[in-house]
Amino acid sequence: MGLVSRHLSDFVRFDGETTMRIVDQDPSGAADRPASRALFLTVPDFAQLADVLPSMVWTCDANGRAEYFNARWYEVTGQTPEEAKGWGWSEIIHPDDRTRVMTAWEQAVKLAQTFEFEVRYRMADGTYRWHQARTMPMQNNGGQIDHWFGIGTDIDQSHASEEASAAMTQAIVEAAVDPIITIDERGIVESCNPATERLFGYAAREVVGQNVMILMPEPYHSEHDGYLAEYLRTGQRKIIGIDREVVGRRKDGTTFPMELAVSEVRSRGGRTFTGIVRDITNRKRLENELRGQAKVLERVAHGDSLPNVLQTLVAVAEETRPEMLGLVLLLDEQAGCLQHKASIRLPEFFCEAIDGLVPGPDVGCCGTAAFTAKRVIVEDFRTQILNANYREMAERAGLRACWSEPILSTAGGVLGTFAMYFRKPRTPDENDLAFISNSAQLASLAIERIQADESLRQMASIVDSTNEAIILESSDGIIESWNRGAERIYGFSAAETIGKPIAMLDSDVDSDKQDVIVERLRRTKQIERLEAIRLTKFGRRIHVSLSVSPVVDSAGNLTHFVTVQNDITELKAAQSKLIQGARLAAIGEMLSATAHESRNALQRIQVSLDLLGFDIKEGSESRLDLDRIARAKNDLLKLFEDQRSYVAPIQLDCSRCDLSETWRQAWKNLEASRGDRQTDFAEVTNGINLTCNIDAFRIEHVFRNLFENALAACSIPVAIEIHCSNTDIDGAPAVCVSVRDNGPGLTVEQKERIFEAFYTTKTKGTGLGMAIAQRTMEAHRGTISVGTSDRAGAEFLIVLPYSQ
Amino acid sequence: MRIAIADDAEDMRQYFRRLLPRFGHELIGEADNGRTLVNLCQANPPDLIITDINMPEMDGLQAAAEIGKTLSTPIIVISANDVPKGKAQNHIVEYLVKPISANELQAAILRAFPA
Repeated sequence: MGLVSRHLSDFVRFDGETTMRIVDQDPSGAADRPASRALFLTVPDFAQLADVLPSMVWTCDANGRAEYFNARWYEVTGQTPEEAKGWGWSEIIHPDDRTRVMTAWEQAVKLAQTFEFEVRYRMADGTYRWHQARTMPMQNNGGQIDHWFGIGTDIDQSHASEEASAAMTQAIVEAAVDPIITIDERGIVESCNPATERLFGYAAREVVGQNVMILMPEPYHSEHDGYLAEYLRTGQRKIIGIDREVVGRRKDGTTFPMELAVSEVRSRGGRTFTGIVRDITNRKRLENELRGQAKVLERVAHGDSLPNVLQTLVAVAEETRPEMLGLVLLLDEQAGCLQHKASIRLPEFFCEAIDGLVPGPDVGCCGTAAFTAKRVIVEDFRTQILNANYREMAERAGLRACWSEPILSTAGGVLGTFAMYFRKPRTPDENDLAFISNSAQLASLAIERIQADESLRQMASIVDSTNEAIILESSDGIIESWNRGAERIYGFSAAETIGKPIAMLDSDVDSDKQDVIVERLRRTKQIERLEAIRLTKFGRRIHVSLSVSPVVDSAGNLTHFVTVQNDITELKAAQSKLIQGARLAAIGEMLSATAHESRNALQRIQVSLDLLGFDIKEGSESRLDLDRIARAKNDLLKLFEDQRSYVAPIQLDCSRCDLSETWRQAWKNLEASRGDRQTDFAEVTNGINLTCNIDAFRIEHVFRNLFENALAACSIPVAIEIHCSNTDIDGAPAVCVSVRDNGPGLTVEQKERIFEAFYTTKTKGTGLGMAIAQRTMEAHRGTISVGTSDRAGAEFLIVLPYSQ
Repeated sequence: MRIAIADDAEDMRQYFRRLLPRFGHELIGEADNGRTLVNLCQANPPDLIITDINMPEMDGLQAAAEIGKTLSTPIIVISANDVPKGKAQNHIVEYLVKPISANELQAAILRAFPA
């Protein structure tokens, strides 16, 4: 060995082609002469050399008998040459080593092989010290072995530290929590630690000497030898140095997931593989449980229904814990009972029986858990006192144990129960308790989340489906949400309003009032109800009723306003119509009451006019006065009759007439009042059918009114244009007649108020003409309105249905 | 044409007195109530009767009905009331709402006796 070679090479030249010859001092001088390149040493030379070596050196004859020892030998062993020579040297070998060394030595001599060994020699002081020794055969000229040369070095110190480290390693291995198993190249277990015994259920002696495959289930069991052989052949590592998850098999045949780390040690005896095993049953179960929880959460996130989510919860629980049967009951607060929501493997009759259970202090596992809001553990139905009814039912369902965990809301209220049933008596361990508690929490989370989602969805559908405008604005008045009701009322789409200031809806009427209201809202944070006039997309003013709610964050800061708005324009119109109607009714009564006397008075004026007319000469000054009185009487009569016809109920006398004839008649009747003013009357009928079922006399009055207004408003030359088109009223075919003049047109105020009774812009007039026209049109189920085109002049649109 | 009139207002009676002759008619009787009108007509039947409605004792319409029982004299009703609904009865040929002018009255008289 190296140590020997080094020591020897310090003194002896030695190369591959030469054999060192130790030459005995031949007293006859007939010593053999070695070949030219051999080094010759005489025995005294060798002895001199060997004596200074720190190692023990010896030579033996061809049969292994010791012939020579250097001084070091005698010095450390305390033997005399007589004691040592021959076979005496074997006397100081440690008894435990002697047989091994002597057997091997005999074998080496027989086979003429270099022999290397470790051995304990007894020292002069009686102690034993480890030595490493090597003996090599020496050949004579004839190539026969005639001597053995041996050298021994004290390695006790390094051996001791090796032993110590081996002992320490052993201690570590023994104490290791994880099983550690060593195998040889054939897969035979060389050692295993107590952790192995604990995990696999075998005693060490049952495993050592066996093929390691006994610790594996199929297919590893059959394939392991193949893996090993394959590795030894190819050197390709599939497991060494790599942590792998595999399956272990206990003595009782049960299997478990484990992580395996394998390392390889090469030694003289070949290769040893050390496997460190970690039982990952719990980790695996936790992983599975987490995966199961993730699956449930995923369902929740996808907006799955509550029954589906709870069913998934039970499914994944049963998957991770195959020995249990899951059950979820939810508390129906209105009915005050538990309702069966999810189970998979529990018998149907059992679930049906439990459905509708009213929680109480001794109402089965779940009923009690729901009642007390505390976990109930029944390890064995047979031994634990439980309401007899439930024990019987559990017995019939083949159930022996039940653990029930209340599902609690974030506020702490009982939502239901999550229960685990078992077919054998069972006591929960720490993992089990964590699991049941986690599962109940997961159920709670799912329930609350889904309920919140549902109420959000309901809220969204309410917001979306309501006819009211629901608008969310930030505290600084920027629109953030705009529902369909708002689209309908204002005409703006959500895209047109979101991000814009709410002030875009303000009309010129009461925008200053808004600031006051907003300021008050900021202060009081109370809901305000008010009415306002707002502008639609089309510039139309609408009356809205608003309810403004401030939205306050958890810190009490005002963040948003929610306004719920109703278009009450029509309501307002109806209201004002009602008020107007009531007023008109009063006027009507008054007019009726005074009609008789008014007419009689007028008649008396008439009588006097007529009689005076007989006496006063035509063309005289007095005659002119008389005419003025006559005109005043006519005006008074017209006012009186207008008022009466406005307030009196309209009774139509309809027949099929051509509309153009009515407006032509109206125009013709105005001939006198037009006098010689230059006028231009144009008709564009577009070949449209103008025959309608109308009260011609009244429709004529409508046109007359429009023409009179035009004549009053326009300067010369007056141009009136009639334009006909087809349209519809709520889907029924209708004709639209536009009457336009070339006057100054209508102001915004006039447009809004022109149909109001007693509203007039003329210095002369009752202010009832347009109101009567509107009543007439409404009686015909038609409309009269102000035209919306941008062209100059006033335009009125008369729309009449073809059939009423 | 021989015409009898009834009106409780003296103004109106005077009116008829002065007006009718101007149009070539003869006023053969005046009454200030319906009862008087009936008696007057039965005593001396006219060609045409012009009557007010609202009068004391008997109104114009009741008088017209009474007269209609024995005579077929056409009747013109002048009233400050609205024209009543329904068909004219009892030989009422015209129903005029006050105020009416002299010309309107003459036209109505002429309509009662078409040539």
